[in-house]
Amino acid sequence: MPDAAKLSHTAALILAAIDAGDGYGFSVMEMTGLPSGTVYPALRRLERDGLIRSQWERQSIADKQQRPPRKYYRITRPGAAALYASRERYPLLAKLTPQERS
Amino acid sequence: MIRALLRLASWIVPRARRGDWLAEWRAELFHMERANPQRALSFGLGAFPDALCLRLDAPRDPVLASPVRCLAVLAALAAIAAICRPAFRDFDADLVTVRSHAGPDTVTFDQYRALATSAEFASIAFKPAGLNLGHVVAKRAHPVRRHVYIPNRKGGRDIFECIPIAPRNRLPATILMLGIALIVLPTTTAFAVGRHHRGRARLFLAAKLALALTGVYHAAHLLAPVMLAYGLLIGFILAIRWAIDDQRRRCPDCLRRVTNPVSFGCLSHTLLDWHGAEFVCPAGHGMLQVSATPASPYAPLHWVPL
Repeated sequence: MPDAAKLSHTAALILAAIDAGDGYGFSVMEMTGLPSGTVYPALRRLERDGLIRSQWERQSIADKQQRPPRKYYRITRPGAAALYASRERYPLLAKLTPQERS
Repeated sequence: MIRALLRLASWIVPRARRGDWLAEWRAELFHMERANPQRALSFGLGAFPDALCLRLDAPRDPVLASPVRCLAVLAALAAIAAICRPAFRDFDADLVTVRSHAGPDTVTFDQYRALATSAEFASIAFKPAGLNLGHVVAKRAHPVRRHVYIPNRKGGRDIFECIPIAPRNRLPATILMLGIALIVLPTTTAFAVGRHHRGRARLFLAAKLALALTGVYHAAHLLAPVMLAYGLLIGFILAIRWAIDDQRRRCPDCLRRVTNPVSFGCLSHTLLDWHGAEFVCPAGHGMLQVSATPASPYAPLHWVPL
C-alpha cells in the first residue's frame, strides 16, 4: 500500500464524517460538532491535497426541493487510504462519527 | 445581516473563486437558518477564516512583478513619505540655539537673563548644564542677524550667535549625499543592467530611480535632523542598488519580474558543471540564468531569449 497522507485528528474526523455522512459542509458540522470556521477551511485543504473532491448538486434536484443547490464532497482513493491509516492512528475516530456506531 | 457578512468575507477570497465560494456559503446558510437559526450568526462568522484560508492558499503574484504596479507602489510610498514629512520634521524655522560668540556653546545665567529681556526673542528657555551655565533655545521675534549684541554690566556688549535648529536649505546636502552615494555604489554592485537598453526599459529604470530617490528623500526627513545626512546617504545607496538589481531581474521585453526559479547543478560539482538557478519570464520571452557561484559580484546575469 502506498504511503497515505498523515492527517491531524480534526482533518481525519472531517474526512470520516464525509465518508460516513451526506458529504456537504453543514452535515459535517452536525456530525463532528466542529464550528464552521474549522470545517470549511479544512474541506478546502483536503480538496487541495486531493483527499476529497467537490461537486455541485444539479440545479433541477435543488429546484424540486425548493432550496439552493448544495456542494457535495466525496472522498477520493488517496483520501480513503489516508482515512484508513488515520483509523489505525486514532482508534477512537470510529466512535466520534455517529453513523459508524451502529 | 449574515448575508452582508458573507458578502464582506467574499472580498477576501481570490476573485476567480469568489462566485463559487459565495454560492456554497449561501446554500449552507440557507440550511443552517432552517435547522438552527440561533447559530446562524456564529456560522456566518466562520466564513472569514474560510475566506482567509483560500486567500493564503492562492498563488500570489509578487506585488512588484508588473512594471506598472511597481511604479504605482513606489509612487504611493513616495507620496506617503511626502505627506508624513511635515508632521515629523521641521522645527519652527525661527527656533535657534543661542551661544556665546567664539566661546563655549553655553551661556551664563546672567547672560541668559540679559537675553530674556532682549526684544530680539519672542520666547526663550534655559536648560542648566553646570554651575551658573546652561544651553539656551529661543524663538526669534523677527528674522534677525546671525549675531545678537546684548549690553552687559560692564558697560560693553556681549556677542551671541543664533544658530537655526532646522537647516534652511537641504538641497546642497542632498546633492552632496547623492554624489557620495554614486561614488560608493560601484564598490558594492555593478551599474550594468544587462539587455535593458531599449527606450522603454531605460524609461522604466529612470522612473523607478526617480520615485525611489524621491521616497528616500522624503523618508529621510522623518529622521532627526542630525541623522538626515546619514539617512540620505544610506537610503540613496540602497534605493539605487535595489533599482538596478530589480531591473536585472526583469524580462527585457515585457519588464515583468522573472519567476519560477529552478536550481541546476550542485555546489560540489561547481568546477565541472554550471551551478545556479534559472528564472523564466511569465510571458515566455526568455530565461535568466543566475549563477550560484559568480566569478565576481560584477558578473552580468545571462539572459537566454526563447
